[in-house]
Amino acid sequence: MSELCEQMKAAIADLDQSRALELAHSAVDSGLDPLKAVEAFASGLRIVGDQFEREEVFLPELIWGAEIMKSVMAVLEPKLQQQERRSAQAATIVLGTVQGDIHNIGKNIVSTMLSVSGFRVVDLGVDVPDDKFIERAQDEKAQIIGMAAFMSTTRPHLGSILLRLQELGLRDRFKVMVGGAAVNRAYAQEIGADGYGENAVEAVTVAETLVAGAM
Amino acid sequence: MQPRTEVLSQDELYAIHCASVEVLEQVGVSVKHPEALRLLSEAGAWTDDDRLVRIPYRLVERALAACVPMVTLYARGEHPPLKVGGQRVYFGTQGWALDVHDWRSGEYRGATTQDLVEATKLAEALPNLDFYMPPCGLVDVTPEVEDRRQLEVSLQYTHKHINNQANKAQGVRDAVRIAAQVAGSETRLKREPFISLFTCLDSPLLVSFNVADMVIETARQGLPLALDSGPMCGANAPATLAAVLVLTNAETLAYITIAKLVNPEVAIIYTSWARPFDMRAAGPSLGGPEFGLMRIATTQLARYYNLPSGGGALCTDSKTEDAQMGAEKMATALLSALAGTNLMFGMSMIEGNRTMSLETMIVEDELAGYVKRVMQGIRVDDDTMAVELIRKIGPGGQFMGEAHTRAHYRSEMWIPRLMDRSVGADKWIAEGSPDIAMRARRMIPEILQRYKLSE
Repeated sequence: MSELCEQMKAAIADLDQSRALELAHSAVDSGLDPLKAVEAFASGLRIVGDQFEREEVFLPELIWGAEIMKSVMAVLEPKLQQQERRSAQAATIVLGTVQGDIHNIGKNIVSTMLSVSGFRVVDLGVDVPDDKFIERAQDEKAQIIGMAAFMSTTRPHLGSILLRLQELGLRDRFKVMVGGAAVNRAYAQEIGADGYGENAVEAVTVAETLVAGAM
Repeated sequence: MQPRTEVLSQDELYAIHCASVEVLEQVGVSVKHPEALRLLSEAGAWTDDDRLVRIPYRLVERALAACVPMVTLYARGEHPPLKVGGQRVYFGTQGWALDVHDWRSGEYRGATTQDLVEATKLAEALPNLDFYMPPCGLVDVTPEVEDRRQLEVSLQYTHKHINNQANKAQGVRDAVRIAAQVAGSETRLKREPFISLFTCLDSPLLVSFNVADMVIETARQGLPLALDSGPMCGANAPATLAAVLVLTNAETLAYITIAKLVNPEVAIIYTSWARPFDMRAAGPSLGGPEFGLMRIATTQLARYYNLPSGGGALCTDSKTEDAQMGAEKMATALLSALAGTNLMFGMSMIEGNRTMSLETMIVEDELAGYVKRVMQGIRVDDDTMAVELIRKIGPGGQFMGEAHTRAHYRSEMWIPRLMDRSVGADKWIAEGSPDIAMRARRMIPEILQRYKLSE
């Protein structure tokens, strides 16, 4: 990795937004391959993710790291679009909290982490009707449907959406991952989901694995 | 403001003070030590027969006038000194357990030097443990040198302040000699004492030879002295809590008078383990509700006399690292802390101070962190009320990504190391469903391995 890339990685790992933006601009000015810059910044965010997993930093730092990533992406975006490579590569995930459930904090964190990890995230918000997940996934040509439930009274929707996909003959078209406080690994298996993320960092890993498996 | 609790009104404190004066003046103390007897009688105490000494209040008053409200207990390495006084609360161990609950085997057995080494390493490493008393007796050395070995091991493996409990006057002299060698000279030790001494008094109203001998020797040496009186309700004191307070206070005042007659400069920490007595078990209870009540009261008494305070504070009668242990330790710790007890003794002990447990030390370190957070109270100012931020985010918004959150969440919200708050039982079940004792036990090897003496 070049020295500039090392600095980019360190700027995110140190959660230094002004430094990261400065480096993003110099990358643009110097004509560095924008994909290389994205990769360097993303590796910095992975360090923050690892620290989060080791309980060295917590949600506010993780989210801030993702926010910095978003801000540098905004700088790099025009260059990326010129290359027309990124949009072709990005997998799409349709994400939301199920019907009757208005918990958004955890879902938002997953949404942010996925989008800064290179996914195109279509965030449907909270209290999302079952059919809406399926319709939007089709419209957006998504690879993954991500659903969150935070209450024992709302989690049955996860299973009904999976059944509905089967009824419509669409089950093989989408990978389905689930999460949220009302869900655990065993429950995810029981309802036949393809993946389960215990937290936002794991959700990214799971999504990456599912996409890799699908390709 | 700092959270604070009281159980005695000013009138009640005054009443206990007057009753203690009455006991000292009209009942007196039984003095079995010739020098103590001589000191008291030369100072003007009334000696009705050759051993019973009634102490007039003017002697006590003179002794109290020579007391300091704050004593600095120094530490070595990077550990900050303890400013013992005011509302500050420090956590430490207690001494002389008979047994250890072996964290490797689960066995209850006599403690050895090796157990003490491990306990001392933990003490050095645990962030919320502020001072250290060697917690166990040692079966692998002769009783005559047990306290010397305890001190040597403690000085070798921790740089935190050591509160040492000798068992004879010679032990006090040796403790000062050993610590002075470490300090480089006795003058340096006395200028910045990184050891202090702790003496248990005898109840009711006894000035026994050995205890008086140690108090006189400690006063002569001039190191800070925790004078600890611990009468038990209904056994060596009346069953009523108020009477136990009168006795513990009278005994402490009598010994403060003796210590100050020897050396007016000795710093005294008014310490109490006054406690209930269980009439079924025929032994003291350290985890009961009366224990915490009395700690609040004795801390109020210390403050009434403008003295630094100490006492049993993290205590349990439970035999193992279970829910009873957690409940009793937390109750006694929180009540004492809310009273502002400066030196909170009791860490590492289970089974009413008969058994040492390393798992317990780790759990207590967590409890101490919890209590320290409570003691910080709630900071209220423009920055913490954050109206501007609330305006910026508005209804329905989220605050987790804000700089204000990152700047404040770690100091505002205590982050546990041991207490499990994780969502979902999956991972926990996969790890063997560990309860808090098991989690603490699993931490011991790592802490011992990473142990490093603060420089």
